[in-house]
Parts: sequence; structure tokens; C-alpha cells
Amino acid sequence: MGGFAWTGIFPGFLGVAFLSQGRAAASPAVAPDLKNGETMFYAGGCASCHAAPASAKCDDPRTRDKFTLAGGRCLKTPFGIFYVPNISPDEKTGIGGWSTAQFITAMKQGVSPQGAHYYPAFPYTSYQRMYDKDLIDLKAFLDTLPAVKSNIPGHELALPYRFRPALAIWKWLFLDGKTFKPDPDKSAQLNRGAYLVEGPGHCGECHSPRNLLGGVMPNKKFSGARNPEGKGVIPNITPHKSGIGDWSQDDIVTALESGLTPSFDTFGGSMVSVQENIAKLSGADRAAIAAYLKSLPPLPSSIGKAKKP
Amino acid sequence: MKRLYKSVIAASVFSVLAAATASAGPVEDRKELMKTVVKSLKLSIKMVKGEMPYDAAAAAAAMQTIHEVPDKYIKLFPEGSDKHPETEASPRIWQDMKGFVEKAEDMKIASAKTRDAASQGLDAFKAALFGELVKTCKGCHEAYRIKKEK
Repeated sequence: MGGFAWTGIFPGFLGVAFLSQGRAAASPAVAPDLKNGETMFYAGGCASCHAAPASAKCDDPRTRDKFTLAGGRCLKTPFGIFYVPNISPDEKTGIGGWSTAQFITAMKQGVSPQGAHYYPAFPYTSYQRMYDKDLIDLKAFLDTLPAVKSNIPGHELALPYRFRPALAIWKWLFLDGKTFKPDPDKSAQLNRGAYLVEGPGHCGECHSPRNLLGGVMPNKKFSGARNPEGKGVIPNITPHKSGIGDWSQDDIVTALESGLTPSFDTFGGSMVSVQENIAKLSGADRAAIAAYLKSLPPLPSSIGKAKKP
Repeated sequence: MKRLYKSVIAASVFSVLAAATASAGPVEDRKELMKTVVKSLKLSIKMVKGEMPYDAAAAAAAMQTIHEVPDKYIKLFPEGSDKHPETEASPRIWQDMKGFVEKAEDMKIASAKTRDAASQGLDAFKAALFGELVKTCKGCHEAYRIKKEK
């Protein structure tokens, strides 16, 4: 009861933090479901960014092993170079010392246990859609992975972006704090697909054009973009003729399962790692993702029209 | 007289060289070789999907065609051919030729295994096609290809 009295006194944003901590702290009465945590690990593609790169080159797209989450990968973006942190259960250099509540706050609000704002290179704008239950399971699964020590360099960003508190404004614009809500008018399959694509899968983070402030343009979501890491393009994944309009639902499932596209090409670049994670999900989950993508409004490709921030 | 003789020889040598480079650059040759791979892969996938009756000899031949590509392919990456406006070859190829050549070697091994699996029936062929060949295609495209706008 005392906790509730306090939240009434604190300004709104602190109240939110308090509430989410209270909410999560009450949950561990139920043992986390490690199998579901593993599913979320693959759906969320944690390893694609956080697993240590395969070679000494920090931009090597390959990873040595999916379970060594020592970080160290560099993301070269127009804002500067981001270095991906260690999320292994190491107490000092990883997230082993975090409580489940702190983990949920990081994933849904983009705030570190020390209260600092994370840059949205960490796709919390998508992860905020995730159910607390899935995040609790995910944290429990991450805790079973090997703890590794690593020293990650600080981000090297252009001057205006170095001021982290400014991210509060960015979040005010692009982070709505809404957990995914199934649409009762849609099938269970479409809702599951929507959850996986919009939430953990964070497909829209790469496959959507961004505005000048680096926010995903909501009316052009999934219509493709220039690669945020500078070279090449990320395809339109809406069912438009410039996207995956001529792919059947089965074609999408095959592609997610094997990496083979209907034109007898294969995925490349970072999509290979994403696909190999999605291949670890159940067939029903892949079918749900395919069904949801086919249900999106067809949009002409935004590649080429994407603004360079 | 001797000077004229020399310049005629020089001119003809240069024109032959110019003709050779104008006929098809390495980027065009790379694309042609990849089309050969796609054609053979298409045939194989159609058989695997049941869109065409399974023919072990045709499947093995398709894999043999793919098997012969990498040795030719890796010779088509001279310095400067990364600057072609249409190439999807990543600059990483030139920074890490050794790693790239290893991927070509993987492709030879995988296509040989898939070729040899063809005679063991459709299921064995399918397993090798996805488990070996497609995997090596991806492995190389992951590190060494940059998707361009079509």
C-alpha cells in the first residue's frame, strides 16, 4: 500500500517506472518458462546483434556462436558508431546483476538500471509491444547462457547525439509504451503473426524508412529502406508488386525456414542471421508471420525515397 | 620504317586488349555465372517441390554445373571491379580474399555432396540441397554480398 501512496506523489514518469517494477516483482511466484524464453530469444534476434562477431572485425556480419552474448559488434550509422553491449549473465560487464524488473524496464522503456536512456539502435520501440510474461521468460533463458566478460568501447557519435537526456524527447515522439493488444476481429494466427512481427521480431526497425529524426514513418512501415548501416538496401516486405506481392504465403514460410527466395536466390547480409533464428521457431509461428505479412496494406517501395538523416 | 612497324604492332596489341575488355567485363561475367547457378537450382527445387518428376541424372547434372562455377567465379574479382555501379559484390571481398575463396571452396564441397546424394533418391537429394548447398549460398551472401536496388 505504501508504494502506491508514493507513486501518487511522484511525477508521472517515475510512477510508471515504479508501477512496472512492482508489477514484475510480484510475478516470480510462477516459475519462468525456459522453453518460451528460448522462443523469444530466437524471435527477438538477440544474438544477431549481441553475439560476439566471428572475427576481430567489429562489423563482421557473422557471429562465432549465438549463445556468447559478449557484444562488441559495431553498427555504423549516419548518427555515428554504436557498439553493442554485453548481455551475457556476467555480473560486472553483462546483465547478470539485473533484476527481471530492470530487464523489463530496459526492454520496454529503453532505460538502463542506472536510469540512463538507451539509444534506439536498441529496438525498444518494438520490444515495448512484448508481454511481460514473455520478457520474464526471456530473462530467465538469458540467465542460463554462459557469462562472458568483455570490454566494449563507448559509442562514437556525432556531437548533437552525444547528449543522452535528449533521448527523452525522442521517446516522447516515438515511444508510446503500448503493449501488443490482440485484435478480437482477427484470427489467432494473424494476431500471433502481428505480435511476432511488431514486437519481438522488430522487422519494421530495418524494413521501414525513417524520418529526419530517425523515427520509423508509421504510414510507410515495412515498405523498405536504405540499409541504416550505410550500404545497400533493405527490401519492401509488404504485399506490393515492388515488395513480396508475388510471394505466396508458402513462399514466405520456405524463405524463413531455409533462406531460399522464390526467385531461387538466397537471403544475404544480416537477414541470414535473422532467418536462421526464425528457422528455430515452430512451423506455426512461421506460418503466422507469413500470414500477417500477407495481410499488410501493400505499399510502394520506399527504397530510394528514404531520407538520409 | 622501323618505327612505323613498331607502332602498327603496338596499335594492334592495344586494340585486341581493348576489344577483350569491352566484350564483357568481370562484373557481367560474374552475373552470367550466377545465372547458371540459379538455373540449375531452379530445376532442382522444382523436382524437390514435386513440380517436376524427380530425375536423379538431371539432378546430379545440375549440381555438377554448380560445382564447376566457383573455380571460374573467384577469378573474376580483379582490383577495381568493386567500383562497378551495378555490382552487389561487397568491398569485403577485396579486404578478405582468403575468406571469400574459402566460401567458394565450401560451395564446391556442398555441390559435390548434393550431386552424390542425387542417386540416393529424392529425400537424400532434398536434404543435401537445403542442408548443404543453400546453406553455403547463404553463408557467402551473408558476408560478401550487398543487396542493391533493382
